[in-house]
Amino acid sequence: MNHPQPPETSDKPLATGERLPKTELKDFGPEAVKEILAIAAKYPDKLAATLPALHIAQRDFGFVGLDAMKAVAKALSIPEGHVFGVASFYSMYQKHPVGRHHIQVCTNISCALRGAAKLLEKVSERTGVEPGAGPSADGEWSVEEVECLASCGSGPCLQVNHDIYDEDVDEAKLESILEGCKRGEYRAWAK
Amino acid sequence: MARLLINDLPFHATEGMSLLDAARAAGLDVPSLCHDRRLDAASACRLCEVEVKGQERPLCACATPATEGMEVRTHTPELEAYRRGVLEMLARNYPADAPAQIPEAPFHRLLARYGVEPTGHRDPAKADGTHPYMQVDLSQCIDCYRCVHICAEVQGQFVWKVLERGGRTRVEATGGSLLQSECVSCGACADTCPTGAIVDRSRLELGPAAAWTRTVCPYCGTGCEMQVGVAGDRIVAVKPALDSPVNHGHLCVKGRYGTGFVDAEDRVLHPMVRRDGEWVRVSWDEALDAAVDLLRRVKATHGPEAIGVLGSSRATNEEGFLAQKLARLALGTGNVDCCARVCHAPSAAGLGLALGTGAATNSFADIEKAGSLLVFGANPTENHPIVGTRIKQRALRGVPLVVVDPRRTELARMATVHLALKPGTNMPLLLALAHVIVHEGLEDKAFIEARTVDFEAFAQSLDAWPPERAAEVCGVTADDIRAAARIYATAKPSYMCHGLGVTEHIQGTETVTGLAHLAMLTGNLGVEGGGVNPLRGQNNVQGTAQMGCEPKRMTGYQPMDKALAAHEARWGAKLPGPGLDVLQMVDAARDGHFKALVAIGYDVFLSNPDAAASEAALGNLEGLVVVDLFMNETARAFGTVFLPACSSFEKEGTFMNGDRRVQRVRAAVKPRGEARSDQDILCALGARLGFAEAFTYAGPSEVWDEIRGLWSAVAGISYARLEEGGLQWPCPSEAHPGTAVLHTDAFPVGPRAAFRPQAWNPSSEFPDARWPLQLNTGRSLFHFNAATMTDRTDNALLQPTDRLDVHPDDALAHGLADGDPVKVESRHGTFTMKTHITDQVRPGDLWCTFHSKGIFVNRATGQGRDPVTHTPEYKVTAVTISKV
Repeated sequence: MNHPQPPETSDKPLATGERLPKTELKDFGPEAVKEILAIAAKYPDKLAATLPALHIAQRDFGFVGLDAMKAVAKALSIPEGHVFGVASFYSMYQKHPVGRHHIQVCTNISCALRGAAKLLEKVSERTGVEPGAGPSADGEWSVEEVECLASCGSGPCLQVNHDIYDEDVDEAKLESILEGCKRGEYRAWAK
Repeated sequence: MARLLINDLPFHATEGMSLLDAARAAGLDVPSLCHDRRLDAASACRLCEVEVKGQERPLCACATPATEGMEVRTHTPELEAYRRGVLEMLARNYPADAPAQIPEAPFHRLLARYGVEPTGHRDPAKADGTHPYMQVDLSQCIDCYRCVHICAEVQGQFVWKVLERGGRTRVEATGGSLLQSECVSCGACADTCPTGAIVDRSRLELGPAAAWTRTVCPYCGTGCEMQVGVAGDRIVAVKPALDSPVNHGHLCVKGRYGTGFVDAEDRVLHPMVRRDGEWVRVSWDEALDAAVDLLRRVKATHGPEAIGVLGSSRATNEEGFLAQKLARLALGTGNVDCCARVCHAPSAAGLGLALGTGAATNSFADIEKAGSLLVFGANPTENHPIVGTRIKQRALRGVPLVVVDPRRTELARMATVHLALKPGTNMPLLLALAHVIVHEGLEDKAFIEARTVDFEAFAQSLDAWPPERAAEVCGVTADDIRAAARIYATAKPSYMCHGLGVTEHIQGTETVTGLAHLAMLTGNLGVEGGGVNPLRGQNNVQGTAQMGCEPKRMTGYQPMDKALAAHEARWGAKLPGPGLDVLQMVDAARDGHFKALVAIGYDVFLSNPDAAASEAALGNLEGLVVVDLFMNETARAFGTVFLPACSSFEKEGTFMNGDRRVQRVRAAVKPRGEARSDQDILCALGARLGFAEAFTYAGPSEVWDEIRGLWSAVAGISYARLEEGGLQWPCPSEAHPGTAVLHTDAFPVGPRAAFRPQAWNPSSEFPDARWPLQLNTGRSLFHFNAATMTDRTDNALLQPTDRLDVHPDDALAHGLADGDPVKVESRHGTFTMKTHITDQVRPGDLWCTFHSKGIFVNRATGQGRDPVTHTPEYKVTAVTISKV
C-alpha cells in the first residue's frame, strides 16, 4: 500500500521560523482531498484511512490541530470524535505547533523508574522550553511529555522529530543529542 | 456445538458462544464491566479473565470462543485475588459517595461483592448537567468504553470518544457538553454505563424501579419492545428489551424518555360534556348517556350515514376492532376510518392492488441481510429511529445505500447516491429507474417470466422516461439516476423502504405501485433481504387499518364483498356496505349531510390539511365525541362530549408493527384519574346502544379471539403464544411459526403479479410566479405528529418549536436571517414560524415540521388528494414567504 510517509528529511538549512506550522490553512486543498480519497478507496471502511489522512493533514497543516482534525473528518465523511480520539492517541501526530526540533520524552512507569522526570526537567532546562508550552521564540525547540515509546527495558528514552530515538538517555547522551540537533545532524520537523 | 468442562462440570456450548456466555449460561457469576451483549467484545476491564488448561496466562472470557475440549476454571483464589486487585485500582480514584447513590449499578455491586471501598473524590469539572434526560459525571468513568462503543456500534452517532492515552485517557462528548454535541438522546450510553457516570436523570430524581413490565413503545410503527420500570405507580425508567427481534436492545429518545405525558398536569382525568359552550365535569354515566343520546338522535333524524367513527392508530388492535364493530354493528354506519388515511393508506392500497397484501413484504431483520438499501421518501433516522440506526450501521459497513429525498437528511449524507429530487416528481424518477434497468438489461428475466404478467406493456410505458428527461423534471442528474438503478438492480437482494414522501402526494398509490414494479422487475420479492417495506407511522396504524377501521375494508383489511357475510354471520346482524373515509366525512359535514363524529385518539382538526376547510365543516356537526388523553384542538374547538382514555401504559392488548408483528402491550401502571381504556369505553357505548351481549368481553384476549375467527391470517396467534414473543402474520395455525417474508412462492392476487403501464400526473401545487416556493412538511426526531404526547415531555426542551428550513439563496433573496420570523402564505391559508437557514433543502424548497399547535402548519396545506385513497398531498404546497 502506498501510504504517505512521515515527514521527509531535508538537508537544506532553514531560516528561523520556516518550519513553523502553516496556521493559515483551514481546510485541505482539492489535491489533498483527492489523495485522501484515493487512500480511502483501498479499504472497505473509510475509518481505516484515518491514520494516513492524519499524516497528510500533518504534512499540509504543519501540525494536527482542531482544524486539521475537522478537515480529515470532513474529507473522509467520518465522525469528528473518531478523528479526535485517534489523533490524540498517537504521539506522532502533533496537536500543537512544534519547533524545528520536537523532543518527546516518555514518562511512563518503566522510564519513570529510571529517571524520566529528571530527564524531562533537563531537556526543558537545556532548551529553555516548558513541556507542552509551544515552540521557543526562535522556533528551534519544543518539548512534550508522551506516553510509552516502547523502550520499557532501556529507559529513560526520548525521540526527536519522530526520527532519532534514544535509549538509556543520561545527561551526557542528552548533551550529544542536542548538539547533534544544532549541527543539523537530524532530520528537522516537517517540510 | 462444543463440549467443554467449566469448573469440572460438562457444558455444551452452542455455536458462537464465548467463554463468558458459556460460564454465565452454566449459572456462574463471572464478573465483567465492559461486556454488553449488544457490543463486540472489548476486553477492556479484564475482570472476566478465566484460567484455561494449557494456556500460560488467564484469558478474557468475553473474547475467547468456547471450543471443544476446553477445561476452564472461573473462580480460583488467584483469579479472585486478581479481580479484587483490578477493582481496588479502579476504586482508588473513584468517588467514595457514588455507590450509595446508585447501589444497583454493576460496578457498585462488584465493589460490594469484593469488599472494596472507593476512596476518591468528584471533580466538578467532569460533570455535565446540560442534558434534560441524562446526567453526566465522568469522575465516575472507569474507562470501560461501553458508551463509546454503543454510541458507535448501535446508534452510529459517535458522540462519545476516547481521548489521549495511558494515564491521561479520558472519555468525552464531542462538542463540549452532551447537549451541544450531535447526541440524539437515545440514552444507549446511560443504559449501558456500569457505574452511573452517565445516568438517567429520572434515576437520580425518582429513585430506582420497584418492578418492570415488558410492553411495546407507544410511538412509531417500528414496534420496539421495552421494559417499563415503575415505583409507587409512577413510571421511573424505560429500558429496551435486550432480546427483542425488532430493536435488539435499543430505543430512541421518544421511546426511552417520552413517557412524561402519562402524568402531565393537563391530562383530562374525568369525563366532560359541553354545556352552554363550557366544558363541565360529569360522571361516566352522564357522559356516556350524552354520547349515546347524540348518536341516537342523529341516527333517527339524519340516518346512520350521518354518523362516523374514527379509530385510533394509538390504540390496540382489539380497540380498533371494537371501533369498527361499534360503527358497523351498533351504529349501522359504514363510515369508519383511521388516520392511516392521512399517511400510509396508499401503501396498503398500492401493495394490496399490486401484490395482494397491503403491508410490508419483509421484516426489519432483512436490513442486515440486504446487499443494498433503497430509502425512498423516508427519513428513518428521525421518524423510525431504530430502523434508521439499523440502516446506518449497514451503510457504515459499506453496504451501498441509495436515498431518494428532496432534503439532505442524515442518511442522504451517508448515501452512495442521493437523489435530491423536487417534491412531487417521484413518478418520473421511478419510471426512469425502471427505464435504466430495462434498457441496460439489468432486469431479473427469470423472475419476470415466472412470477409476473404484462411486462411488455409496462416496459413500453417506460420509453417516455429516459433518465435525461426525468433528470430535468426531477432536478437530479441522469448519471445519478443510472447509478442508483444499477445499485438497486445488481447489489441484490435489495431492501427497499419508503415513507410518507411516497404516499402523501396526489399519486401516492400510483407511486407505491411503481415501487412494487421496481421490486418485481429485479426479482426483489419473496426473498430475504428484499421487498417493498412501508415504514408505518404510528405504533398501531398497521393494526387499526387492518382491524377494519377502513370504510371499504373489514377485519384483516379484507374487501367488503369477501368478508361482509362472515361478519354478518358472526355478529348476527345485517351490516352496512362501504362508507365514507375521514376526508369524505369532513366534506359531507361541510355540505350538511354528516352530523356526528366519534374521534378516538385522532386530532382531526390539527392533522388534516387545509384547516380552514376542516373548521367550517366540523362546525356544522351536531356533536363530536372525543376519546383522548388530552384536550386536543379538535375537542377544544368542536367537542361536545369528552371521554378520558388510558395511555397504552395503563392497559392490556396488542399492537401490530410495521413488519406485521403482533406484540403484547401490558399495563405498567394503573389508569389515571377516572380514565378508562378504549375497550371499556367502546363496550360501554355499544351496550348503551342496545348491543350489550355483542360488547361484553372478559378481556382483550377475548376480543382478539373474535378477530382470529374473522381473519384467518392471525388465527394462529394466541395470547398464550404472544407471551413467548411477537408473531408476524400470516400465521394461520397455532403450529405456524409466523411469516417473515411474504410472497415466496405466489401472491395473494394469484401465482403472478401484474405489471401495469404508468404515467406521471403533475401536481397543481407546483410553484408559479404568484406562489414561487414549494413547501414540504414532515416530522422530527424529538416530536411525534400532533405532539400531543411529546410536547408534554422534556422533548419539548430538546426541540421547542417548529422551524422553517430555508435555503441560503432563498433567505438572501427574501432578506431573511437565521431565526427571523417569516410568514408562509399559500392559496389555502397562512402560518408564521421562525426561519432556519440550511442547505439541507433545495433552493426553492421550504421544509418544516408540523408539531406545534400554536403554529398550525395545516392552515396552509391544500386540498390535493390521491384519487384512490384520498390521502392528502401534504408534501407539495405552493407558497410565498415574507419577513414578518
